Amino acid sequence: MKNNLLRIIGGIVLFIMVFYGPWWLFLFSALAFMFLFDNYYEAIVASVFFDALNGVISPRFSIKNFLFLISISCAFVLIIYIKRHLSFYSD
Amino acid sequence: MNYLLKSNKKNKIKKPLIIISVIVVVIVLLRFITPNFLPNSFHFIARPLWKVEDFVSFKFGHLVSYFQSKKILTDENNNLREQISRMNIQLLSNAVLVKENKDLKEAVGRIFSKNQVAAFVLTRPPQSPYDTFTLDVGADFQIKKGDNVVVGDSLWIGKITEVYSNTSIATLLSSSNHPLNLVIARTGLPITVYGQGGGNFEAQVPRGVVVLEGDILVPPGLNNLLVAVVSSVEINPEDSFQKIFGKIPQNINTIKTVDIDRGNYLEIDSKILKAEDKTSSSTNSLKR
Repeated sequence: MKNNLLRIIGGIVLFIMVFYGPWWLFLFSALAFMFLFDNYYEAIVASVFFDALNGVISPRFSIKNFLFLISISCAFVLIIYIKRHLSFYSD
Repeated sequence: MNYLLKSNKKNKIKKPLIIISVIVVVIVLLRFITPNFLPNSFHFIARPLWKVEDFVSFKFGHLVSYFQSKKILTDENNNLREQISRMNIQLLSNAVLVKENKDLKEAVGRIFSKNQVAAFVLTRPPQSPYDTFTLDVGADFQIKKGDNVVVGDSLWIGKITEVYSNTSIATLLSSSNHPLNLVIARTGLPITVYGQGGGNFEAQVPRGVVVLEGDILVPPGLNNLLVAVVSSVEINPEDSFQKIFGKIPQNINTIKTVDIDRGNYLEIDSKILKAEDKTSSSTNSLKR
């Protein structure tokens, strides 16, 4: 219950970062929350928001269009992998 | 009989991996099928939130001063007064130059009338990582891609790169590796500068060319715009080129309003046109 509440507060903080925070603080908080909570999909959704709000659409495929989505997705998978190998998180 | 517990660790990583792959593929496809759908709808949601931020900072921004000591405030006030008086003198000389410039353009029959729209900056670096500004006007004010973004009357900082229903995105000229052809105002030497992000530029010119700190970089052509000021020059004795570093003469993180130049309209002086008509008709009659 407490964990869920923290997760919701974390989500709100993350979305505030999308709209008002500097990009590096958004990235840092997304990484921190992905470490703190299991399968933190909110970070992926927030990164979609972030790319859509700040990105510039280019006619050709450019990684710049999805920079945050791709980097946070990679970090997401990497963090799951790291957590799997940390005894602190083992079930 | 004892059974080993089956580990579900593999499933633990497989499921999120599938979900993320699906999200990424859907978003990428959506961006290519309807490129404006996501940005347009998210900008529609974000615009009122950004407006609230502006309102709050406007209303309560001065509260910080209540917590500052009187001495600091007095010193700051004195410094600002001194700066204002110096700027007033500069402004007077500028006004004379502007008048002279306008008169000269009138004399050669080239008068520009500006078609500008004022816009509030909703987001700015470091909030956006790509050196972009989000502005509070869009298609509702006939803003188009490629319109120039100007601060004050003469500082050209960027171009409109995306237009949504009631917001637009301006990319700064200083965005990373963006090439730009400029002229050093003092010498008239054309140079190509490259954006370095955060209002900074870099260029390379042969070592023999004299470039000084404080030189103004302007776009070529007949306009009253300036882009950057040379902040430093780096000369390496082993290199035949020198590196020039330029900077936008204003802190881009504090810009609150800009003007969007929807194109300069060249008004040819009617008197000169008539005079040209007369001369051409007289030469024609002479030929006959």
